[in-house]
Amino acid sequence: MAVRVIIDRRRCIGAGTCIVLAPSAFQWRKGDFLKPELVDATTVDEDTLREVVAACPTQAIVLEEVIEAMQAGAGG
Amino acid sequence: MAEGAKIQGTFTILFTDLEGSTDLRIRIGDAAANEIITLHDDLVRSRLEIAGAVETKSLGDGFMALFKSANHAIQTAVSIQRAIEEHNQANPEKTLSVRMGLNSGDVTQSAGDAHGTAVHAASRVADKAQGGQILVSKVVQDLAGTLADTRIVDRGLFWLKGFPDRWRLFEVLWRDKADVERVTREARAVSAAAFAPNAARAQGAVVGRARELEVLTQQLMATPSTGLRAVVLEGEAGIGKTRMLEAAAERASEQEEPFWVLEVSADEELRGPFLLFRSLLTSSQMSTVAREAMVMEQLDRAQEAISGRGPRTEGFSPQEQMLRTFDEVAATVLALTRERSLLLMLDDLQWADDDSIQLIRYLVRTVGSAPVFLLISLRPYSDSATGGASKLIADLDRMRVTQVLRLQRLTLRQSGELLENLLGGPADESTVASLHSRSEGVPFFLEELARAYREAEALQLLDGTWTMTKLSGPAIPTSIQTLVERRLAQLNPECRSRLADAGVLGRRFRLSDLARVLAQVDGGSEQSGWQVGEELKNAIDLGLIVADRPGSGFDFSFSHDQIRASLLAALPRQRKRDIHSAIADYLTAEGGTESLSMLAHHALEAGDQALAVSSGLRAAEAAMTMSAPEEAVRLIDTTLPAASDPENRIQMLRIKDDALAVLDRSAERMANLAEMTALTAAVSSPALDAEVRLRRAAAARANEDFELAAELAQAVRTSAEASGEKALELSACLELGQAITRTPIGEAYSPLVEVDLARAEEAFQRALSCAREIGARSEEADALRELAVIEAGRAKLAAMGLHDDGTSKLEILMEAPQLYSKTKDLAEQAFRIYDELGDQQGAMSALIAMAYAHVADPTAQGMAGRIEHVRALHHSRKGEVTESQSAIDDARGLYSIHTFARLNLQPGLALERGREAFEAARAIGDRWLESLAAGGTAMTCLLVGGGNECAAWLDRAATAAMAVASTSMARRLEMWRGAHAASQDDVDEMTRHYRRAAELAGQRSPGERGEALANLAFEHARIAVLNDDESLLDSASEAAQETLDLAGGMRGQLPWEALTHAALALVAEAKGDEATAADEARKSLDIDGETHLLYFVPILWVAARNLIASGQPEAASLSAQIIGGLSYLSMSMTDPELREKWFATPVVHEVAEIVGFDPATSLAADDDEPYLSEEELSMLRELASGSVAGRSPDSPEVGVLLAKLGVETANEAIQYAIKTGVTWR
Repeated sequence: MAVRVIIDRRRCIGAGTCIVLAPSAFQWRKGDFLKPELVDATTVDEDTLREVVAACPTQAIVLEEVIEAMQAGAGG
Repeated sequence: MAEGAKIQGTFTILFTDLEGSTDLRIRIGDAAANEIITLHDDLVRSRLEIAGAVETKSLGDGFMALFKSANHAIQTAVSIQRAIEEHNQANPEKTLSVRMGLNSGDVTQSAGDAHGTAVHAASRVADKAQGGQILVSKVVQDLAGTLADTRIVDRGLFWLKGFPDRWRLFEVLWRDKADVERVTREARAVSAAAFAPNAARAQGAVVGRARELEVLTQQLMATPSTGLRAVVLEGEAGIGKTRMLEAAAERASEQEEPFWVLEVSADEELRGPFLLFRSLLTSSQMSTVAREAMVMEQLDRAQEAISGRGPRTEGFSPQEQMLRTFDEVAATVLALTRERSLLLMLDDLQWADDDSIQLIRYLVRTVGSAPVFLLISLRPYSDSATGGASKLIADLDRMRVTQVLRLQRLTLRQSGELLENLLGGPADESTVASLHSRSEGVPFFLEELARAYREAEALQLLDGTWTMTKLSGPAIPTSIQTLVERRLAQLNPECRSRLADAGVLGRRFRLSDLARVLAQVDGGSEQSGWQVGEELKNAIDLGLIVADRPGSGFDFSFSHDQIRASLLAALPRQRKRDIHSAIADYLTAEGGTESLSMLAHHALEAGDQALAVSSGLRAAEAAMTMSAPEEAVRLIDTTLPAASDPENRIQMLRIKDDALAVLDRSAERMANLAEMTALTAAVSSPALDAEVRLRRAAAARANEDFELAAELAQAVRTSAEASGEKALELSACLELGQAITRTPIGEAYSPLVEVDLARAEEAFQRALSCAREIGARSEEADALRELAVIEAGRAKLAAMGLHDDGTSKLEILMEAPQLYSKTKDLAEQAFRIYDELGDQQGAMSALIAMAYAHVADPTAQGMAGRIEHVRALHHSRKGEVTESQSAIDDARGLYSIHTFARLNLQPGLALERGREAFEAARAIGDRWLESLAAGGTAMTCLLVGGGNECAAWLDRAATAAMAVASTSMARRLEMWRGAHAASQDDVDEMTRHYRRAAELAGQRSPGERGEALANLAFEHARIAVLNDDESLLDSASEAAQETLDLAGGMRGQLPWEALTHAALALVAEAKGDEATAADEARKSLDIDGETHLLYFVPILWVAARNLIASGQPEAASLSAQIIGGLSYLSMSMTDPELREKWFATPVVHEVAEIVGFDPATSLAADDDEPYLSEEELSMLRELASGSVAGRSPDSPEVGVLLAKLGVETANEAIQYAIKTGVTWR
């Protein structure tokens, strides 16, 4: 089962937890102030992504399970 | 094996052996054997890794592992056995059996192998064990000491091969007594089910379904320990699904710890909002169960919520109201399962209403860990219109808790068994073959055939065997229908006609209803129910109808749907319409909203279009009030074709639009609204036109077509401006603002950067003036709140500008109060209005906007405090909607605050929330989170030099991780252990753990691998510099090089890359290469570490040594920056003791010394705040975490608190808490 990371920038308050916990997967979004963007979710373990979700104070990050058939098209 | 680590000393040796592995390949073939062996390897290896065995070696079909402690080794062995048992219960078709032996003694290692008599003996001890057994030698038993929840018993003296004396061996009883009893009992139950001579009778005559019954029983028995399980019985009509359900119910009540059993069937004819769940919750079976389980109060709440009678919470959106309804039902299920496991059976799910199916999907997601066994029966290819049942099954499948059993037709042998059971004796071969082929193996058909032949005396008992006589008998029926017809032909004409009338009422019916309907249709006085019952006696005798389940509220049900279908097919059309009409009259007279759906159905069938439309409309409105939007859509879809009046059609489409909005089906909304637009043109009403445009704008927004949404809203605004309609202009401006900000009102904490803030502001400003002109308070607050968020966006842009101009982040933070002053002001205004209006949701959203303004405000001490408020508000809000989830949310909330505090160097808060998160995770049984919280707390202890406490927390983390047993959890443990060893300057241990963490991350997770190697490089370099140990420099450089190679392939600002440069700076420093050291220190600082405080401290330490102490050009400015940073941190560390400990840690101490920062003189106390007692603080904390309405401001304690704070209301007190952050201190 693959997962897709969804960031809701409207809910994000810029705590930066995701970026510290998985710096190779998330980075500060260029041109935006204290908002993350996804860089490459495949550089870290899926379990680390789950930790990032649990640790986001406003639940602004969601993992969506991608069913097998769609995996090929799933970006991160 | 850890590279470079050499093993020598006294250890406890554990041998595991997969029982029967040698002949596995012969017995089950290569592929199946490989699968079992891999399963075994994964299960055992992951636990050994997590347990932190010093050495682990695979032996093909087992493992050898070395432990430093005998106690730890036994506990690991026990945990492995328990994991295997759990696996076996969940996967009865792939069971494993592992034996284990333990011995302690000296071990030496050469050529990668462990040697010594002790090792040899351990292997022999394992040989003596049976599968599932753990045997230990006397020395292990002596060393083990006390063990939690396990007992060790003497098993006597044994000869071990190759040893001259006999050894006393002990067995570790790892299943407690209850466990042992349970296993024995389960084994007995399975064999009884399979072999009992009267099994068929006991199973309600389920014949020929041994395999399916076994699966059902296994899943049922696994439920109490594994949580939610589901079995879907799929099969055509007459295949025996309902009988399987009955058998399951019987099994569930036969369990030693019996289940609650609840059953409900969906009906093709009956309709209504949440009909399936309303039937379930109001059944007498449910009230009996609820009474016994003492959850009547919760059941009442669920019943009220689902029938729309419950108190509606002010400020809940329709979606939230729907979720709340779902949650009341989920809470009821959870409450029931606290007492016992629950078997919930849903028969004929294909006919269930879609709202109920949505509710089941919610239930499945929410009660996943509760012992619920969901048994669903379903006809294939007959899903509801929206495909709800298929989605539900897909959900269950994704969660891997379901098994679909496709009930096949009977084989010849099974047909023979069924016939024998039906006839009470065996039938001869040709009879079985003949009846089997005629029935095509469909059990219902076979039963009917056997009955028909028996009644016609075409089946006779000859010498104890049933034989078909070819001499006489009726012509052979060729289909079920003919068979059913033949049975119906035996009815007397009066009875047949009564039975057909009853069929119009539904598959199940009440005699009193039938009597009433007949009186109206046929005239004359109304008979009593029992008189009508007399007329149906003939049908009862022939088994065409049977008494319905007690407590169902119905008297009879048709014994098979086919019987009812045949009767209805023969009923004259007019008669049918008359009956429907009579039912409609009856329902109209009865009144009540719950039967409106049925009224609409019967009115339609009776051809009464006017009644169908009016009742359909009312029913749809009622369904919306009951949070059943799917039912509303269905009602509109079925009754809309009967509506000819445009007013009615518009009202119907309006309701459908509302329903689709709740269901978030924006594409369908657009289609529905297109129809509405067409109708609008016909009636030419400007008001309606504006309404439809605004609805389309909202739908377009939901569909993410923001341009169209803005265009539509703007058009309405312009015409409203022209005609001077303020209310309409207000609605249009609010819609326009939301289209521009791309966010619904109250949902954003800060705007998206791509939003045109000026345009959005203009729209909301106009909305604000319109709202003030016409006194629309709620909308005024909405506009103010959104304007506050826009101002927050402005403040952020200003901050970005300062950043681009080179202003440091610290200085920007100092500017924040000015930057955010407008946001605060507007949000406060909005809050006051929401508060006045009693709109909690609005008040919360305004508070969050306000809190956001404080996030960047360092003068109020402690960003984490703000985060905590946002989280608390967010959760109290969510908790109101979905109470059943709130324990889970609470645990995660605590963990998120812990993490934020830890990463931002707030050890006091991190420790407190870490402990709380650990306890909360334990309470809900989330071992994963438990382990994370314990590990995070352990790392926090290290921040303030608490090595011993760190070790204790690591043990807790490892215990919880055992239950999770994943490679990633093993890697985390290694990282934590590495950090702990590094803090003790234990080079060997630290190296071993970080290396293992890197190995476990492997190539698949380069991010985690880099992090492990960077830590290794840094710690080697640090110890090399501090201890003058040159031998570590090479390994530091090597690890650093590999880390940089990994970082080269990744984007993002990698704090561990910065740490690597810091390591290289230290290596250069040790070698006396000042220029390289300075250069690497600069590289390390260049990687923006300001948001990575945790890493930033060691980086600053290296910079202080190699740039400031060595007098590099940037020394002065860097020094000033570091002093600023240290002041900020010392301000935000509010616990003086922890602050002192942090400043006393060697690295921090040295940094402060180099830059000349004295923490003791820089700690200014904040005198502005009133002194609050512990009780008052906790009261304020309670208020701030959401019990806004729950506490009476009149109570004296609250009064004192408010007076101290100088405020008047509880909500103002919360505002105070938000502003000052006192609550978490």
